[in-house]
Amino acid sequence: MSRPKPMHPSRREVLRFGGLGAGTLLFARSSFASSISADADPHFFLLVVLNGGADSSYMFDARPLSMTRAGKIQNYLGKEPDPWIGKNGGKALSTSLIKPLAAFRDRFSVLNGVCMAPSFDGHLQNMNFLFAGKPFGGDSFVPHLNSSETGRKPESLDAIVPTDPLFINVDNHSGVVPLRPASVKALSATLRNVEPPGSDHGLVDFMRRRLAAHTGDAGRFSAGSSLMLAGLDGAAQVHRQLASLTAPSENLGPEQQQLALIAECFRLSISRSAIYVLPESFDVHAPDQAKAQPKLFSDAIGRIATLFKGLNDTPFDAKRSLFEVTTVMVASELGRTMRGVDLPIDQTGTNHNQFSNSILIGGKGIRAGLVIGASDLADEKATVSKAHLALDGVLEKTMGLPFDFSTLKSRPDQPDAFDIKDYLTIGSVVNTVYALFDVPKSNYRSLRRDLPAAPVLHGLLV
Amino acid sequence: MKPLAVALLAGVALCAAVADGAAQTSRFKGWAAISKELSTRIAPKGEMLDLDRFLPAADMEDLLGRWSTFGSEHAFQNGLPNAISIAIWHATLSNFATSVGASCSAPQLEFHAKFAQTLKDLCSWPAAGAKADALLMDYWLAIMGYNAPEPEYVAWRDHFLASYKDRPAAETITAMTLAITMNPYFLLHK
Repeated sequence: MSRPKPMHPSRREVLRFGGLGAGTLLFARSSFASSISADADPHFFLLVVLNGGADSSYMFDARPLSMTRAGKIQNYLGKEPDPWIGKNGGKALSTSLIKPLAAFRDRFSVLNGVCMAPSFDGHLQNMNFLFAGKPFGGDSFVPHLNSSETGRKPESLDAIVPTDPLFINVDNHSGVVPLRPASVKALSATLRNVEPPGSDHGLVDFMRRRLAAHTGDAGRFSAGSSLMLAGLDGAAQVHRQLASLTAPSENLGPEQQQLALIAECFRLSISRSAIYVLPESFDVHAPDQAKAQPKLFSDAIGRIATLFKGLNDTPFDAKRSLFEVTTVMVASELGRTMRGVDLPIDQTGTNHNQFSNSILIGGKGIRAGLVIGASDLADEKATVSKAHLALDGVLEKTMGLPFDFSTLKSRPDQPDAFDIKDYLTIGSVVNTVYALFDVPKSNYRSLRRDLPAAPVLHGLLV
Repeated sequence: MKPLAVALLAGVALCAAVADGAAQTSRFKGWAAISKELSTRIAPKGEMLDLDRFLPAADMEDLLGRWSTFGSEHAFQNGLPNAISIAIWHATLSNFATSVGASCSAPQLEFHAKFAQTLKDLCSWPAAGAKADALLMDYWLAIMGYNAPEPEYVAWRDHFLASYKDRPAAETITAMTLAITMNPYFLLHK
């Protein structure tokens, strides 16, 4: 539903329209056609997904080895973690595996103890929580970043997925499309040889009239025809944009090719966002899978570092790197338990933990270098709240500590009962991204159906 | 009767609860289903047309709607029409339609005998015989099947009788085929 336009131009509108002329001069590698629609304050979103539920204790929410010796948490790395101190004084422990990311510590912040859901702990349900804020699906947050309600002209697509796709139940991902580097060369070549479905073509006009004849009713077919009609109206532009895509060099590594494609799609105004799914599966229920985590995380962190370096080194235009125009978030659908029940600590896999997850966030609009939030059970002597015990009686999961939204730090109190208002949730993280992209508050995620919107982490925003 | 009524009411309430905007939107049938339908209608019995060669690139069928599996969950993905899927459908079906149109001079695909005869007769366009309602209806049904109501056929027929009345056969048949295959009754689940 579109909103009435404000009477007074916003700062963004002034910047966009005032800077448009200058903005067209900045594009080093884009075509004139794309430059004329360029945003003077470009803003994109890259979501890197660790699929399967990644164990935060192998990255930025590690535990001391004494805790493993006490039989509390598996640790197949076998090295003492190091302190990771944020500019805000926030503290965490990080493993040696994150070393490739240390060079970028001033480009991202760490959010620990993020509650994904107070209830469900299945992959699909929690992936749905990450994207839609509900266990069984709904509206994904990613397309909202490309809505005209943000005051920006929407890009042709809400997001591209240059990797293997995700399995999620969301209703609004029609503009989130898989587009892989290997496909681009043939795709652009073929599209250059086919006439785009332009409105000046009599046959396309006929198709449009047939589609229009079926819209306006209340039924499913009418809704589908409406989407087809809207798609046909935008297809000529997308056709030309895709035809102008340059295939990434095959000499580049896979991550570099994928990033090159993302950069091209951002520059050509093809897509607002990209969803990048790492190829590793972090679902390590079996002991042998869990033992492989050092390599698993080493590979994954290497890829993330390659992406960060690529974002930093890839020019978006003559003045800005891709990192400077892109907000980046690295997340998994859930965390993991500390160990399996009734298994030796050196022969255990781990299960799902929805009560504590780690998220990295950086890039445009984000105050970097912070450590925000924390999970409980910091060492073998730590006690937990009654609220934790009520949800996890056998203490196999860490849980986010109560959170102070004004200081962005965890609180020392131990609540007797679980109240979601006390905790840092994925809803707050998404609402913070919404705030950054000027998504209207009517879209904000609520803490629960009967509660207000999850608080925005204002201190995380520049 | 009372338990049955309660069960019915509960069922209706459940349907209403899960219904949302997207759930009430027809989705594309998907490339696999469209390929099968076309093959069943115009290829020799038991054979599949090699339609994948008309896709602009590998993986592009993913954009046109496909079944995806995660554990025991199955979902139809990329089925909602959007600008990119329409662009890919249009490019793919343009290639297919061009191939059918070009078959007037040299066969590009292997068709079953009845369709081949219909196409051969239509290839005499713009001759009067090619404009006979029975022939046009045969061609429409051969591609569309019985998915669309008759007014849809009438609109299609009248458009080509008016706008393509003097155009060459290959161009006309290409356009006719593209118009049928880009029709929502052809591409969408009802």
